[in-house]
Amino acid sequence: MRAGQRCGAGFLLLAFLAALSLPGCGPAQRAGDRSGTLVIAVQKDIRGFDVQNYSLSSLEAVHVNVFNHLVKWDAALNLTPDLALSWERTSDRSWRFHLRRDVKWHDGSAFGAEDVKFTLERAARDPLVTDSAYRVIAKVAVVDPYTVDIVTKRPDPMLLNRLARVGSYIMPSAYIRRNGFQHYLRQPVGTGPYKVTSWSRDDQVVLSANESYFGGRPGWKTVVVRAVPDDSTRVSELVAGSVDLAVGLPMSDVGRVASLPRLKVVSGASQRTMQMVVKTSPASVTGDVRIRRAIDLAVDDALICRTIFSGHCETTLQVVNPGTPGFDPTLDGRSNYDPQLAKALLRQAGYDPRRTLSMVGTSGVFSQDREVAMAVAAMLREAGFTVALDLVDGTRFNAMIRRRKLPDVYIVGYTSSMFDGEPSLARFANLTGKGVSDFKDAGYAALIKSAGEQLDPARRAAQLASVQRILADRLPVIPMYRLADIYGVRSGLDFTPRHDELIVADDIRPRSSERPLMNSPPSSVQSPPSNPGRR
Amino acid sequence: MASPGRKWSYARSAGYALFVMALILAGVFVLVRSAGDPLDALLPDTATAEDRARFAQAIGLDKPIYVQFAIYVGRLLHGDFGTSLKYGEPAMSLVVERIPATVELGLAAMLVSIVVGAAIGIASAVNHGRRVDTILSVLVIAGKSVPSFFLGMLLIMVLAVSLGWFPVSGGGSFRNLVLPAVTLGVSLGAQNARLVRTALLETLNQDFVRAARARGLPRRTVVLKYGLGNALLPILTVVMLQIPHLMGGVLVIETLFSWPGMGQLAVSALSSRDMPLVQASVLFIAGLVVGTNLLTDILYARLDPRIRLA
Repeated sequence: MRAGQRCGAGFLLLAFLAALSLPGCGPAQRAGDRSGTLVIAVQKDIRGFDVQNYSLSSLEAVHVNVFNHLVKWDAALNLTPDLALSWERTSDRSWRFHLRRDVKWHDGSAFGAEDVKFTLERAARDPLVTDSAYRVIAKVAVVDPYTVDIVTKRPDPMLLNRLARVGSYIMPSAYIRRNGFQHYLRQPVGTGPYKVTSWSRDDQVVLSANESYFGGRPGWKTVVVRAVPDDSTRVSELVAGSVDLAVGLPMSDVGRVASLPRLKVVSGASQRTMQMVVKTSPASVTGDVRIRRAIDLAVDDALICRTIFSGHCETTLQVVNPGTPGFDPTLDGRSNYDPQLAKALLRQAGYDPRRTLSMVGTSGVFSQDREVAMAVAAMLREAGFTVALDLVDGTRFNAMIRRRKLPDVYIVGYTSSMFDGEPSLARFANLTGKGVSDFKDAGYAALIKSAGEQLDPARRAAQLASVQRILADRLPVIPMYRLADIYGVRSGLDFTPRHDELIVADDIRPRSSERPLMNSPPSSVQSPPSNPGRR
Repeated sequence: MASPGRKWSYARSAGYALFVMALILAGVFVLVRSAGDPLDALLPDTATAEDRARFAQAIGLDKPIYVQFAIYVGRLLHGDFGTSLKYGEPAMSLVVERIPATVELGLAAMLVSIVVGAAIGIASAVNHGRRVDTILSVLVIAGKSVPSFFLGMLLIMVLAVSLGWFPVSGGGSFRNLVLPAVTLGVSLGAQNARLVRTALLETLNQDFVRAARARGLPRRTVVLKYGLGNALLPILTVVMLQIPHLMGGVLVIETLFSWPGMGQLAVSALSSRDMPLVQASVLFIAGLVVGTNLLTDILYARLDPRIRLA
């Protein structure tokens, strides 16, 4: 071999050997090798530990394991005690909360009423807290070290819902005052079952068990929450065995993951309802309610669920989610699809095909949104509409919403972390509806306003049911289907998705035939007391 | 010691670089504000007009854009790049925090590209016109043509998922570095291979190389010392100028491999309209590119005295 060839080949060999000789270039560590460690891959990293500036409940696997609320949702969407043992309403605008006395922050200091006051008053008053859900709180009064009164600006039937959602995790007041907020952001302490060991931004958060957790010994020694934004990479991590649970499995990979023996696909109904928002102003193409009804009848939501989502969604005729006030079970699992009636209604309404129905769908914002928008446009054309479909990305779509530059029909998915029907139904009230659906109805507005302050649950449920009927009659919105959250999970784990989409590490358990979690069996988890204060 | 003429040309180049940076500064400032209302991305869609006004006032967005710019430049001159709206931390420290990861990835990719490029380029040049040259040329075209995200996914499928040799994604260890560095380095390596081949072929036909051969020097010495040694100058220039392209590739590759570097930071800052963070990221990347170009010009002028800075 000549010198030049030897030289070139030498370089290539060097490169190859360099790659192979790297430390640890043996087989990658598999999930089963990590005793007591749970690895979760999510789509997005947390923004940080300013927990009040984080209202994204979906895909949240960090804060929920580090912090606690005053009250929390259980898996069946019942409000249960968390840091508050009990509570009662003392007047239309005031609630009293009795706090646990056995809670320690991760730095060893004691939790108390001052922490609640600091947290909720910051959420209510700091202009840099972007979540406006807490502005209704007027003040928090410390009655004694373990009792607080929360006073609202108006009667608020959703106060407990607010206190149980993301954004209301209780923060350590003394620790923040002593060390400063920036220090807290870098070295956060909570009261939850896991402590923050490290956070490598846009890479991973490592949590370790808090052995002195008031709720009992945590189930895992270590929980690693990895941010893997690329869908295909996240699935590859799951297939390679380096993560135990991958959140947000793309539809295109569901079949492949399900076919692998070590893995399984788990799905659960999310709180996100996809819906068509339709203009109701008389000048618009959809000004006549018969045309709006024809749109509803022309779209086969069940077919969309069956084909585009392989059954991982559920058709619905309401924007309110199961388990929340205002939900009507008779409207779920149904679709109004009737193409013949749609055509007849169009004829009856005198629809002129020369009038183009403008329609906007998103691309890359919601699961399979592009495919759904194209399918819906095709179904509408089949019914006799002339449709101009515009597919837009998230940035353009948000700008259209904000500037109220919207077409006759657009498809959007809404969710509410409040777990109450009112926010979903109030979205079409006169103010927020102007320029969106142009929907105006005095009765609807009065009912929404009244339900916003109605403290009697039975009356409030009746009001919300009436609102549902008005929306069903006037159709400023056409509910389509409720999306499912899809997870890829290692077969050896038991995991049931929660309605609130939060990933609670201790809800994920190995099957009994699998390896033990901890070196010694966990002590029994302290059962929360019964909830005398639940209203 | 540099002559006064050379000093003046250095100063003029530095002046151009500063002018370009000022243009970028103003351009980015205007662009991030004209791309849409940042409050849309920062506030939930349930925020009322009052919430929006209060938040806009708190972060200074209620002032006219020229006032915002004057405040921004004033703070910049004091070393304050603003506070990230998303993270609530100083924007430049967030960028600086990510530099090691991106530099690590960039250097590793450069190393891959130089090793692969030199090996293939030399092998092609010394086998000019033979079958080996043809095969390597096809490989080079393939390496240059394949999109980096596709190559990345391919490497993940084969080397990480099937063979389990490397982690799929993430940062923090040397093993994590290999796949993104190879993905980034292959395309540049292909470019380098063509460059080395062309430069070497040209040099190998020069009289002094023929003279070296005629003196009976070993082929290795002729190729490496006389051939490659004299072809280094154009190769160096191109390698230095690849740094801006590398930064472009980093944006995609860091997201694909979840590599916690500046690329991912810039992408997420853009999607969340975190203006201070976008501005700090772009200023840093622009500074790197402009600085590299300036350094290349100066190095070039020093290495080859015939070249003067414009």
